[in-house]
Amino acid sequence: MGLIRALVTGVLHEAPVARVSKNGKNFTTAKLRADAADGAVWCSLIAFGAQAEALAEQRANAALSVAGRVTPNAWLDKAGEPKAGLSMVVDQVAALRTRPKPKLAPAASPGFDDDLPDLCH
Amino acid sequence: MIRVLVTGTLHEPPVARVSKNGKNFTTAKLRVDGAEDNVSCSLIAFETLADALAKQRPYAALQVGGRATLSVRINEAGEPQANLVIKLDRLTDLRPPESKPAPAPAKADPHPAPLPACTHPRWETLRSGPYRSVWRCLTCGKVEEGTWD
Repeated sequence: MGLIRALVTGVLHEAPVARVSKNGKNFTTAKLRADAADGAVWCSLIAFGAQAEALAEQRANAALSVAGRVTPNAWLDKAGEPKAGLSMVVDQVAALRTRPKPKLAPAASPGFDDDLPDLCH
Repeated sequence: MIRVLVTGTLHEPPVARVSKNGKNFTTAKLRVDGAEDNVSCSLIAFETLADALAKQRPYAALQVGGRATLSVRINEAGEPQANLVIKLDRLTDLRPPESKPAPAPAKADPHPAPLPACTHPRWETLRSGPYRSVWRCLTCGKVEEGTWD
């Protein structure tokens, strides 16, 4: 059986949607827009397991690279124009924007409540 | 940007072409046998990959990688069909390598070992000189030569 694996870099069109399947497993769906020279390519993403959690953490307009198995698909839009897109089962997610580092709480000043000897004589 | 790695079989023989500016390129169609539907990919290769692709035969099993664009067309049944156009930067032939060619026959030794000495007792001298003599066995006809400085 043939196989198409793809690495797609693009921007999340809207916030990913975390869902739960009938058998209680988590999965996440999202739409990624990959800009190409001849227009944008839409990629429907679905992720399971740990990748579902990683994808669900992303926000709308986040720049992402995703990798996984893809299936090209085609349809007719409302105007009757043929359109093509990709459906991907994600097995790797890489966010191109680093996560903000959590701010460190200021270190508590050590108490100097001991009695200093009076050295000024 | 979309980069793909595709495994499939060549649908028809690759076509080697020459661009207007004289550069070689090769086009081909790769069929990806999926569980639901067969997906075809259009391949284009340049330079050394063009030569490698042009050597492939129909139905050759290939793995190709490269930058892809997605296009759509209306097929004969009037249904939209997606097509991946891949500019190759990687090509792997999944056919097992051909068996090793048979080793070439050994070249004749320019310095052959001297013939084994004939053990027959009767010889005739064909030539006798200060530095070189030639004898022939009267039984088997073997000719031997002796040289010395």
